[in-house]
Amino acid sequence: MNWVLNAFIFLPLVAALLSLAVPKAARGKFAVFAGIANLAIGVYIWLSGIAFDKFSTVIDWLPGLGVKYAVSTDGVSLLLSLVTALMVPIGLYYLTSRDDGKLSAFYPLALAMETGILGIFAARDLILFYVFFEGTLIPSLFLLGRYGRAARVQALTTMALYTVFGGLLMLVSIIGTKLLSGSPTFLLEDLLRGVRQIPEWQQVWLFLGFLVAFAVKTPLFPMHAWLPEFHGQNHPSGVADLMGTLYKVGGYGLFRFALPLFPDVANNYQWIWMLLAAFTAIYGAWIAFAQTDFKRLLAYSGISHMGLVALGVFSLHPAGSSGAILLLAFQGIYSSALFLVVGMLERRFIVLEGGDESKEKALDRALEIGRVRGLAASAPAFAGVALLLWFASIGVPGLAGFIGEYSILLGAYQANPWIAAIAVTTVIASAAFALTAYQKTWYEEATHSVADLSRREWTVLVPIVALVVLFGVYSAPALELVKPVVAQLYGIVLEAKK
Amino acid sequence: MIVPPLVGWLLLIAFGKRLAEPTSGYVASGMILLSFVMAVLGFAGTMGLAEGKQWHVQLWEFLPFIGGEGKSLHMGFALDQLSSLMTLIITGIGFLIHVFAIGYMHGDSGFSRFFAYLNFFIAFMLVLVLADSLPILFIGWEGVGVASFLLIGFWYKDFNNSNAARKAFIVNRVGDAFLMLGMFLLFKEFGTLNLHELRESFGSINVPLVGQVTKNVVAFGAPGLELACIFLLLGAAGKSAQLPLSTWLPDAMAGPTPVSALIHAATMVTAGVYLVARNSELFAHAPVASSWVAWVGALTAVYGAVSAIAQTDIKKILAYSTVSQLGFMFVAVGCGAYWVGIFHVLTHAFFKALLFLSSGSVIHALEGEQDVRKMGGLRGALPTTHAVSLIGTLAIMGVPLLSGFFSKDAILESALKSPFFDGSKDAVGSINILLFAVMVIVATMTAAYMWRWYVLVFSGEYRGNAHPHESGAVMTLPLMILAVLSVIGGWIGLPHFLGKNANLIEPFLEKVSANAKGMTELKGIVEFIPLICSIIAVIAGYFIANYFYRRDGARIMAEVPNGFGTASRNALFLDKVYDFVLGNPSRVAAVFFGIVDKSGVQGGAQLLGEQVSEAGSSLSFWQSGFARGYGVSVLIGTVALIAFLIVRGFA
Repeated sequence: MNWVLNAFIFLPLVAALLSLAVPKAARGKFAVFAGIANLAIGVYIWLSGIAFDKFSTVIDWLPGLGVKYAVSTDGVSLLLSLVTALMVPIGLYYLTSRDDGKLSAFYPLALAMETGILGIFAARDLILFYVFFEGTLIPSLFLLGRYGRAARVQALTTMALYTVFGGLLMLVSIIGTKLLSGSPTFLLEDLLRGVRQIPEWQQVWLFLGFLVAFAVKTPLFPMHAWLPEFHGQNHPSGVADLMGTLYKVGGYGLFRFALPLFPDVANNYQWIWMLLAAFTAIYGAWIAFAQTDFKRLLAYSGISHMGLVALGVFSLHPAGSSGAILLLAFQGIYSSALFLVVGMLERRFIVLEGGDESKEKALDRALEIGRVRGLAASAPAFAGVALLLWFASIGVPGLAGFIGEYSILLGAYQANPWIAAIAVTTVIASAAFALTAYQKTWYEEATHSVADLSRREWTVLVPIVALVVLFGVYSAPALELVKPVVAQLYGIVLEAKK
Repeated sequence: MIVPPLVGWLLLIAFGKRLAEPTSGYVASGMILLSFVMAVLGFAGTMGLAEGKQWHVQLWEFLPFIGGEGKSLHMGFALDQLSSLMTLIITGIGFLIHVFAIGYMHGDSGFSRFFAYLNFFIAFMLVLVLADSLPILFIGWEGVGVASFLLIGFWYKDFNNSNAARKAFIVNRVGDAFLMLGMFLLFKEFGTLNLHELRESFGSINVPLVGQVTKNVVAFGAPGLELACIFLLLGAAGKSAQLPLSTWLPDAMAGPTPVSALIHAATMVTAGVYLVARNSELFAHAPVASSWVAWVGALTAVYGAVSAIAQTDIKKILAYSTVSQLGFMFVAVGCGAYWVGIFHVLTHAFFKALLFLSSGSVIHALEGEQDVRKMGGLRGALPTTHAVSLIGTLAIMGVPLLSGFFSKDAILESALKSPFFDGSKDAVGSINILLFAVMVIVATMTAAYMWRWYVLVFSGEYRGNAHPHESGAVMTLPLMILAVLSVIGGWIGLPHFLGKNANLIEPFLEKVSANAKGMTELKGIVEFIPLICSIIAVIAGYFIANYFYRRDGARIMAEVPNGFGTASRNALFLDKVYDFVLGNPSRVAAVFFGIVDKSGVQGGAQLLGEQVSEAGSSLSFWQSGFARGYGVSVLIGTVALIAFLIVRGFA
């Protein structure tokens, strides 16, 4: 047993519990510190070399049931974990600048979510995965319920219903897979050994169980309906949305479990899964065009991204699958950051609202796209950073979004040109909605004058911008992590490193 | 070579506010000059390179599994004859623009920002031409798209400018989507996206593909190759403002500075021509796609020329002229005469840069006036600008011995010689003649609308009410250099009848570009037909323009456009058609889907949510929403686990 990985997973949860003992005023700082410490552990694992097996832990948990506590990491898990560990302290640090004394429960909840998400990426036992997968929902719902906006109860119920329903089907599939494959445990490797014996019609049903659960969490059409409400109703700072973005692990689940367990199903009905994903991509981008609320716009943009991620996974092509993981990882950086940008905008706009309006109405107006225009004149640096993040998000080459998007579409094209062509139109649609929203906010005649980025906002955005540019140009470190895992999945012998 | 402008950009973004006005201009220009020196050195180096050789640097891994057999596509750059010539144009013209802009942008509050964008633009233009693979080229391709978005929207407070910027980017993205499809199909067919390997794969026997058996080389005219080339063509059409994606360019030019207009005209839009020339080996094996290229070019040339004739904005005339001239270049590369296309890129860069900068100088002198009806008689007030404008006008009209003459003549010749239509080695086909005739008519129209431009701006009497004054040396010096180049620039590509060694550019470029097989040989008197027609076109155009426009100012001001004039002034209403056919429906559809999504998919979900909420609240021990949702989750999860336990127990 190696303590490092376990520390990486559970340090945030421990810190969350400890923070309850910390005075409320210092809780934010404590949480940020814990987040940074955890990131340091993650970086240590990363730097320790490519053989990540040494960090594995497998011990019996519920021996009678064949459930084990099994965690491990590899390039894919680590990349996604690192992004999570990076974005959480950044988000929490931004949150401290908005702390009005009522946010003291926010920090522990966010840290608890971090442990859940890191656990999802590390779990190698399906029941353990299920526990992390569903368990993360709890702090996420509490965040929405405690800090959300007026219609949060609705949003919360919708989300809970979808997720629980999907999760239940997955649980049935997990149990079914074990029973039918005759595996002694719920370990992924044990299941993989026996799964081929299962008749194909049964595999289809098991696969669908996983698919529905992951389609909810990804989200894929038509299981996406909870997401716009979730983002629309969450705390206006955008930090809860950031956590929600990191929690969109459906694409990872498909890649890690659904695909290796049921490759034949994925392959034989490939066009159905690809079409679903491609449709989600273009559908999200298109609807985003008509959105008038910043957060709902980003929600639909995220749905579009996730459609692409799923498309990459289902392309069953090494380039497409690698692209899916890379897009999932990098969008965790820039999509999350865009939510923070919206939070920063909201903070400026809410000041412009006055009068006798209710807080809720003022918030509605503050999040309305195009009501305040021409910000580039008074806040040029903010405008530049926002533009860069938008460009990253629509996959402009030279920025991090491109690597994944391009590889996905290329892989998808090799599998099915027609469906890939549908997905490629996303490139146009996303430019249309992103630049329209950008123009309405930053360009044109200035309606108001706002402050440029504050020192703290700079601190939040600089590492994000740096990474988005760095990985957009120098993607090699991320490729090094992802390629071996994908190569193993497809049985490709990698070229020896020169 | 790419590094200096990038450094300049970073410097100006970071410290732009702290630098005094001219300093940032000097820094930016200096960086481009440095690049230019490197480009000259590189050019000198490539002069000695043998056929099929290139200087190549391969850096780190960039895209996963896009090199075949588990290999990644690497970030890499290559320098050969074609790319080094392009770098000369980009950095050379770019430098002159930078210097000119120091004068032109004098006093603008965004002075440093402007130079930062210019440097950014040049950097990505260099990435585009130096890329060793299509995805890297795509970085530059979209990078200049971003730069053009920034430059067009430079004066973003104006609604029209910011709209034009957005339109340019989105229309370009349509082209980019096709370019992506083209790359994906090429990868499928060839298993590589490296430009050199693509070129070489026509010589080898097998190309290994990822996870597939080796596949035979794509044959001449194979459907996959043809389709890939058509995708590339549509991609190129986006960046080079060819039909059907031409509408963004004139808008982009109308609003912002002539300097940024020019940087598009002289460099960025030629990227499409470069793309075709770069992949000449592919196009040479794809006769159908090549003839599409030629006809797209011809139609665009007609479209641009017709639209240019009745425009009243001094820069819009030049903008449509650019669209039309790009059509000429596409005809050349579509006819298999790749070196001719690049030759026209070169000469066009000289004279179009000259014309744009001259009009900038005119606008500067007239304090922002852009309507040619309110100009006239500027010969006296702006002697230098007038002189260089005249040279530029004559060059683009194709007056013998000036640069435009030689390249246009070569294009007309290539239309006759192209092997992609029905011509054979010994006889010129009827479609060749048709294409040739169309291009001669366009050449006539070119001469007509350019002479109209010149007449309206410089001759006659002044019809405006500003106080014209000549610009300073920092602006006129680049003009003079460009004027000289517009005169002598064509002399590197003299026609064949002047001797075998008269043409310098053709053998230089043919080391890297394919040579379409089966070009018709023009013999005897036929060899001189293009030349004669081109001279007739100039003279006819001159007289037409004089007949209509060399008359008194009052009539020009009072001129009411007739049917043709209206169509021309509105650029054949293409914008309105697009908006009606594509723009409005997709906007409506977006709103419609938005409503459906909200009321249908989500509404259903919410209804479900309400039902459950009510059921929940009737069980009074769950008070708040989240507890309810979570409670249900825990309950169901636990039940399932227990159920499993029971099943196991009995099993």
